[in-house]
Amino acid sequence: MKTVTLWIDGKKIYADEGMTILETARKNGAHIPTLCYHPRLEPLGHCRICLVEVEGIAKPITACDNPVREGMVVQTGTPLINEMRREILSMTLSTHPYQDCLTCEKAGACELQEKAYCLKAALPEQLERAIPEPSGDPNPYIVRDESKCILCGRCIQVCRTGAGRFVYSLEGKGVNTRVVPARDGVETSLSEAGCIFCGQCVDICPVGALTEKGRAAGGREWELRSAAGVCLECSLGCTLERRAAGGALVKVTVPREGDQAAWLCRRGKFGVNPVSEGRITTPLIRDGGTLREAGYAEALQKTADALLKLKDKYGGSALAVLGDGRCGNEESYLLQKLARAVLHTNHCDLGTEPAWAQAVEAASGTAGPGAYGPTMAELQQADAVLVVGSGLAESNPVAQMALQHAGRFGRAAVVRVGAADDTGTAWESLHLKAGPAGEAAVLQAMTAALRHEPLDKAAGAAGVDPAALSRAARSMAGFNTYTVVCPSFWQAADAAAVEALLELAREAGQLKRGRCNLLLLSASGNARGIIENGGTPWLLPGMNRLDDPAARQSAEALFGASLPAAPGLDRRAVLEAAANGKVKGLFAAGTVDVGEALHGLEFFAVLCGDPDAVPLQADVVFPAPAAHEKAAAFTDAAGRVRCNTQAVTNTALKPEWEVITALAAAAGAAWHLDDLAAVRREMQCLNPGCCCCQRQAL
Amino acid sequence: MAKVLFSSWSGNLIDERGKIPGEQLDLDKLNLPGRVDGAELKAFVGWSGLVIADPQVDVVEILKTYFQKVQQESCGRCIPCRVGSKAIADRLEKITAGKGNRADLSAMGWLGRVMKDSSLCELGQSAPLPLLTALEHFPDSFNAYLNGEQPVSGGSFSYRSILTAPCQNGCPAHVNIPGYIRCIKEGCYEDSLGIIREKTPLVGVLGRVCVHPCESNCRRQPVDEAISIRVLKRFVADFAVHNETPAAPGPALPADAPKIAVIGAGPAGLNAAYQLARKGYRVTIYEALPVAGGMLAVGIPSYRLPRDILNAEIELVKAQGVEIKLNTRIGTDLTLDQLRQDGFKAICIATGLHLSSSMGVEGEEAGYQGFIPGVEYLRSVNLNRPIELGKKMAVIGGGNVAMDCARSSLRMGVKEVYLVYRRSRKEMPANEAEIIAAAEEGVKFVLLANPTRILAENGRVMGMECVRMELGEPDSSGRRRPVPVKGSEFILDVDMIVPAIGQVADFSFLPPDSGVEINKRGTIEADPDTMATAAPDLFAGGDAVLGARTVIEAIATGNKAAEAIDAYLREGAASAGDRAVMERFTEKMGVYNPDEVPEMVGGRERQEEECLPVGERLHGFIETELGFKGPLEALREAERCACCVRLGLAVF
Repeated sequence: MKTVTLWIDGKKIYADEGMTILETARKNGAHIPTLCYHPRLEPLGHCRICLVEVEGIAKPITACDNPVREGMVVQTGTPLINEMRREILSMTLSTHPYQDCLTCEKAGACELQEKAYCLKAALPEQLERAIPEPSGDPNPYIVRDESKCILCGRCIQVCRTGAGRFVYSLEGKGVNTRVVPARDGVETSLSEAGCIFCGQCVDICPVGALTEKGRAAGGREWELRSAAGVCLECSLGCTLERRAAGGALVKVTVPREGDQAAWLCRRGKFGVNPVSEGRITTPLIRDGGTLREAGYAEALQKTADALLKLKDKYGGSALAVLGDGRCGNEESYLLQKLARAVLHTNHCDLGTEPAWAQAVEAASGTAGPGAYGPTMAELQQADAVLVVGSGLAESNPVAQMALQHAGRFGRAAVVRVGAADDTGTAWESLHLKAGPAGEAAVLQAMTAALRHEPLDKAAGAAGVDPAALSRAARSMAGFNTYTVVCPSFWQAADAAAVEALLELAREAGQLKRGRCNLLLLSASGNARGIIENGGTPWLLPGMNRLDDPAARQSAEALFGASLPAAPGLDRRAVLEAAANGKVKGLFAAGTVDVGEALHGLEFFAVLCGDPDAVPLQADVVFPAPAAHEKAAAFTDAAGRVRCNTQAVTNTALKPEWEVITALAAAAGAAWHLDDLAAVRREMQCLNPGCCCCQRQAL
Repeated sequence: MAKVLFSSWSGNLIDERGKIPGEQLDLDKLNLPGRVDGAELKAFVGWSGLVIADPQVDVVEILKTYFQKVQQESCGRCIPCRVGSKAIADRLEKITAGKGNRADLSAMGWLGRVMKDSSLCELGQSAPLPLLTALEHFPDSFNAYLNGEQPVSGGSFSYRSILTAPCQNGCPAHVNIPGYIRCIKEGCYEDSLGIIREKTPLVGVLGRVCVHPCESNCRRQPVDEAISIRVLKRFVADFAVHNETPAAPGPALPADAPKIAVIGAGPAGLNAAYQLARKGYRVTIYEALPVAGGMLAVGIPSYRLPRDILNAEIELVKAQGVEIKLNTRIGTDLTLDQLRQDGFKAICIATGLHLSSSMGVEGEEAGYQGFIPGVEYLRSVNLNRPIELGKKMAVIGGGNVAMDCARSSLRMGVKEVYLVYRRSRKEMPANEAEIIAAAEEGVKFVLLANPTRILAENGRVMGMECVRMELGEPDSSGRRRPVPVKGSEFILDVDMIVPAIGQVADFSFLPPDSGVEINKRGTIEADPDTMATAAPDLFAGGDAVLGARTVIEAIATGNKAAEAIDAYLREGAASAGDRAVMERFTEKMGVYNPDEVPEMVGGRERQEEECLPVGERLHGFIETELGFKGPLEALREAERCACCVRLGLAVF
């Protein structure tokens, strides 16, 4: 990277070539006001507020989109420049109903309001414009108020480059120009225009033109308190910023820091339910046919007694601990400890796909500790990405967004192996439709092509076009390539398919010691955290194999109990065994659909943090805090540990770690874990760096 | 001849208001047309100032109209143009309504300054110029309104405006270049393609072979380098191909849609047919060759233009409802009169130049084996017809056809290829890129030499006698005339000779009474605006009119013919459309000013397309130029575009 020397306001500054004047100025403490600029977007150059004077150029130029040059002499705030900025701002205000500031949701966080204040803009008369009254777009998430729109263009750009959609376009001319949702050039509703309601446009809107429908009157911007969170809607583990006021969650936004290419999807942004009115706040115990409220002590003792009784009668293998894939790292650790050390069973599956778990175990084994999968920013900048499977837009929308960016705005060849996907936006460079032999056969053919084996044979076996196979292999031959595997792949994948996938990754140089360019996606929220903390039937915390005697011994030493050696059953097998009367007692974390298995169970207890989906068939129900009410660590699909903090405090509910620890105590096991910090300290023994305090994101 | 009363055009202040008409400057000196469509030009308001030719013109009134137009064209992205032009238009409106005051004048001056110095694109940056000029030089006109006096004239004016740009004006087909580049910049590649397809279906073709006159009209040139407009065009075409974007279907034609015949399926014919079909006509193209595309298919070699790209774009023409009848030679298989009897209401002749000019050299007519005229040679190569190749070949000429012949021959396996040209390399008419590529690939240039005699033995070419040339005085084309050097004859040892010094048309299909006039250049005489020939229902386009010119010029004539045929069939007389009239206007006056130094920050490197390494090029006819590596390069290049959109308003 070449360095250039320039002067900003008389100060000599060194900057990397290619940086803009604005970036350089901000880095060096010179203040240049902006309105349309957003650090996560390419400069738009629309607002013209960031004008600066450059020696040798008669007109002022914009700082946001002009690169620094050797010897440049920049003035950021001459009287003329300030006067022009004020005029431009005043022009903006003449098309913005600033009298609405009193009632606007955005007041206090409005960038126009802020600039008007800082630049002491004159308040002009409103220009006559033909802007229609808000028609009330029929959607439950986003409110559009066109009268407030200042046409900065951020929403249009973020929709295209962030979400990979083309919902918004400019309509009309001059002061009557509007940003409208349009399909084939015709104005329509957001959903008709292809909106996926990821809400990025809302997050990025500088004014109150786009706001969250659910936040109305939830609190003024200056009342909102932020808490860092992790999204559990899929295994990507996107980081969130939760904003709460008055003991209630008001909105969720994409965090300012962190992976600048990672956005949110509809489920992340809008999927967090406000806690419902009729929420369960105390444990429930089945009494005859109905559930009654009970104290924690009674519920814990009843559960412990019931489980121990079944253990004594049928043995530990008649008990199981299941989860819905969303347990935090600490809960995962404690639940598996409860299963193995107290209930003496390895039937502990907290909710991951078996083929996925095998692939993660093998990939981590090869890459070793510290080799994380790609970030969204890395995917965006890839030279090539192989996508295996389909339905990413549904299962892991944020990964789909990054890939669309890579294919449409980056330099990546995106090669997809799987069924046809109709996302409405062109982004794939090559689609290899899997033949009847399935996706694994295509992967094997690609491996063969990378090894320069005869193309026709390989292509024939997989049922793909040899020319396409050759192109795909060529694009994967570079260094900066990645593979993203969709959850759909694991459904039908057997051990051979997993091996085909890993073999291709090794051949493409994506998987070796210290390097893991694989993003293995699961549908489960904290799949990676679960598998790393013992929530899998055959793995101990730290992904140590249960059938490894040394690993088992150190776990036994730590747990102070002997552990069963035989690998346990996975979730499907547990439920089958329960239906056949082989498993009699079940402790479930989250919403586990037991279905027919219920009839074979003699005891069923639930610990559930989702207030709207408590399984009411249970014998004992322990309510738990919702995601925004608890502190916990989660691990994203790439292997990075993320911290979830409390946005709202709920003192009525005991956190999960406390319930599990108390349950163990009720069953006679004294764990001496008095707080979350103690839990984390113990977890580190088997799995160093499993909590946020140790392995912070990036 | 209309006189200039006042002009601030291009920064040259001409104020002749005090002079007597005889001493005033002719409008023509400013390259402004005095009359358009029969109406006399009274004033012109535009990006570079203000021109007044008629003392009756009310400056305030025409500025008001100008700013209303600016407001109607302002794209809405940047605040100064979007709001500033409205604020100015409102104040001008207020003044002309007799409600203005002094504060409005100073406010307009400041607003104009802010708009000029801070707008995003040239529309906003240039539009205030005439206002600022008028405030300075026409205070009386404003004051009259402020003082409640009647305006200078109560006369009514008519207006014609045009939104153009230097690159767009430099493009013979006036493709909306700033528009499609902005779409790329904003990630809307499909919309970008749609904008180009308004003018032509041959986007991927032009993206590869266009000589891009637009780029030599790019205002970025003095700052760093011109925008790579051609490759950007190619990018959107290729992106659609890679992503299998379906093309929009054409309109459903009614059963009684008027029928139009096009003769020749080259770029001019294809464009005329495409535009006419989109206007609702039933078009049939008659093509003598077994393939459609004209010189695109049988002239330009496939290493420059892969046939799947060409054919996909011909399919796009067919998708509009155009029928292409191959192997049908008008004059032999069908006559013009038969076409008329079959109900074709108009016929567009776009037959091109498919014969080679002769060199006038001894032995040329002897029919020696190894002697093939360039056009015929390329046709055979492109149609995979058998050719008996030699080992050493001389190609004569310095144009693109000569380069195509020479480079194709290397790919056909000819061991040594000489390119014999009578002037020096500097004068070669071929594209610079073609000349460089030919040299890189191993074509040996024999410059300042001209063939004098073909040597043959037993009816086979055995060599070519040439004479050295030197450059004398410049001729009418401005190039220095080559003069033979006496006694400098030498023999070039070759067994194949391909002359490519020019092409001529074959108009034998035209009956003597067709009414079509053939001029002394050997091409059809047609109106440059309407492409109408002397026969009312016959129109013409492409090389058959222009002589050997470029694809984009052929396309422009096809579009003009389509528009005029439409007018002829609707109104009974061929005429150019409103937009086209103003395009001729700006073509005459010029929109690009090479002397202007734009206020832009330079140092943004032009993104270059990828090229196949020389070593990999000569195996067959694999494409050598590959376009941008990916979208990122296209975006970086599009970001370099300053969007020099300019609004002109002609007052009549």
